[in-house]
Amino acid sequence: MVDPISAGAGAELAKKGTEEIVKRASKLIEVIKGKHNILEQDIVIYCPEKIQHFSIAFEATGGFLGRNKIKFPYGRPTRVKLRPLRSGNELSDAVNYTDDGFEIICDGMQGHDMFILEAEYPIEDSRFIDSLVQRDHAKELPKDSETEYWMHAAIKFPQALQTKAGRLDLRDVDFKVDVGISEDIKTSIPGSFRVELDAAVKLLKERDPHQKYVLGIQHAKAMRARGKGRNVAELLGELQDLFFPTGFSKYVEVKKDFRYSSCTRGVNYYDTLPFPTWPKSMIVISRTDLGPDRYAADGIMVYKKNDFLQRVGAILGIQID
Amino acid sequence: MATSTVDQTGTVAYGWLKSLYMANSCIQGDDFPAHIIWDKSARLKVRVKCPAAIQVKEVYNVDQGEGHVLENGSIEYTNFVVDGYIGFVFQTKPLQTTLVREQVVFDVESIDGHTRSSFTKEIDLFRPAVEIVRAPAELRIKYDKDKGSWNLSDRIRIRNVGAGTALVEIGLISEEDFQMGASSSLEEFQKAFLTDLGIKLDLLAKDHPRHAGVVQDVALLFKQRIYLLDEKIKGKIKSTFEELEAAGNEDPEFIEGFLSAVAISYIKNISVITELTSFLEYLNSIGEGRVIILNSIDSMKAKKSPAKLRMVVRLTDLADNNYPTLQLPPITVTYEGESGVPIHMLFDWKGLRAGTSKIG
Repeated sequence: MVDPISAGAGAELAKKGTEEIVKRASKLIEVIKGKHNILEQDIVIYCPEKIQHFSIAFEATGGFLGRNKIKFPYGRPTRVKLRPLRSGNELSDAVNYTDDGFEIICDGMQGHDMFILEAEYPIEDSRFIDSLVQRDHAKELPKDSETEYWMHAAIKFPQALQTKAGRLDLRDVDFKVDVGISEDIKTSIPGSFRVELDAAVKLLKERDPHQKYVLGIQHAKAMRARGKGRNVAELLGELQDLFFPTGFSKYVEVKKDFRYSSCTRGVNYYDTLPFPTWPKSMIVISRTDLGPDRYAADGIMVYKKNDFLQRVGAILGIQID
Repeated sequence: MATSTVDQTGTVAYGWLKSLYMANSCIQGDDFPAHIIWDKSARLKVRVKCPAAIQVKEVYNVDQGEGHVLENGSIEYTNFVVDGYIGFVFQTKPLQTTLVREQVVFDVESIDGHTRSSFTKEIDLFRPAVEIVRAPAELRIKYDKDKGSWNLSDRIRIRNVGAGTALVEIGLISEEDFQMGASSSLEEFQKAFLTDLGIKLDLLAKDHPRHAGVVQDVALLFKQRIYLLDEKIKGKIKSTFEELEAAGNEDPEFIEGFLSAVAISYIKNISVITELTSFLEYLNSIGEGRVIILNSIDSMKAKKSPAKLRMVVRLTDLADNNYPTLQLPPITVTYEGESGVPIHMLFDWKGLRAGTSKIG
């Protein structure tokens, strides 16, 4: 018999975290429910920001609400918004933050109007999302010729998404996939460019005027062999541009249930220098959403290797097959 | 009526079956996921049958005590917490073969037994495999000071015959005749960078006393000459950086301070020559056939000539699996000129040539 995960260590954390969220949502709802009609309610977890977002739509009952205050003393939120559905404009003066939470001043509200109250609170335990979602992705691919990295997100406890305080959705569940690029770069660098680079380094290091002259001739010869006028420092600068998000994002496509978010240079704790000048991999960040309508999501991150290699070749002035 | 489907890519959707997904590749020893989603109104039982190399590690959305092993080795699940979904995490075992395609069979049957479908999903399990092809008994190394180049009479030939990337670190068995040193080309930059970083990290630790321990650990790792893939060090590096990541998650101001300390120390000491040299070193660190040499920029310095060079090759992969360390036979090295040859110069990662014999 295989033990299901519900017996696992993460279950307690997921249960506790969900209970805390639902408890707070229930209290917010109770306060409004005592005075007005609740129309709809839901909870959204914004994963990268680690925020719990409550949204409660309600119809104000009674005539003019006067200077009444509705108090929500359930912890200080990071943001609260109150909007009448009719105009959609935020009633910024209606929300007042207090030491133990916030309050709504009913001045600008009219009876029988419909409103949406949105409140955001931080998620204190950073492990909560991991306890609720299983995230997996291809760490690499078996063959060099392959370029499609799989990604998969699965809810561990789907029952946690149907709460008494409304449905619970997870937005922007993030994935960081490492795309190995070092071998692609190495194989696309022609021997003549390495000779030229080596000559340039020696030339820059040399202090003796005669040696500098000799090395200068060697360097010029190496440059001529490549047949391009630009020096190696300029070319390396252009190559570096490929590793910025705007540069590398052109060579990435995210498909199926996931969407592209950003990319950054790969950092591995095995790198000799803590701030690598030349990345061995690029990290591509993709996102997906999970909820009661989608307990699992799968996606593919495509590394457009041929296009990337063509660009490297174009920078170096060489043809790559 | 029973139907059968074999699939290696993508997600299957079939009738009441909304999606059946399983990852199609995985490094051996690592985990991979699968899920089945079906129409909530359908009452089903799910059976999964794995080959010896794969086992069920975790199952989501099933009742306690679920997962009955049947006579044919399948595991059957009939009671789900929420209707219409089951999630799996499978664990794979390291195998003798470096690339193998395995099959996992999912049987989905209606509780009344009227409908039954069988789906076979395929997955490639792979790992790198590094072997010593040839190691010379003698090696003559000559350094031409005028040209700034090295000339070696032979090279140690090593290659990755598996699938996937091998992370390799070269180490010394004995420091009797040789010692490892920093790369001469980047030594100046490294020294200046680490001095500046040390000062900044001390200040950071004072500003964030709660994280002083992890800052000190990181600073020590940067300063010390260590073997990254040494069993004890490997664990320490991993735990230190995990601790740093956790501290960053908890305290964004601290991690911003840490990153800016690294970035400022780097920018302050970088120059055109460092840029060019680091690119050369970068190219040197990548062996052919998906091999990354972690300490390629280090050098082997002989204490005398001739000297006995006794080395080991430590290995891991991108899933951080452990592999047996390879021991190279002793090599008698004679030097002419400078003795600190860069590690990458000693090795040749190209494929096997006709007429060469494999050892180890």
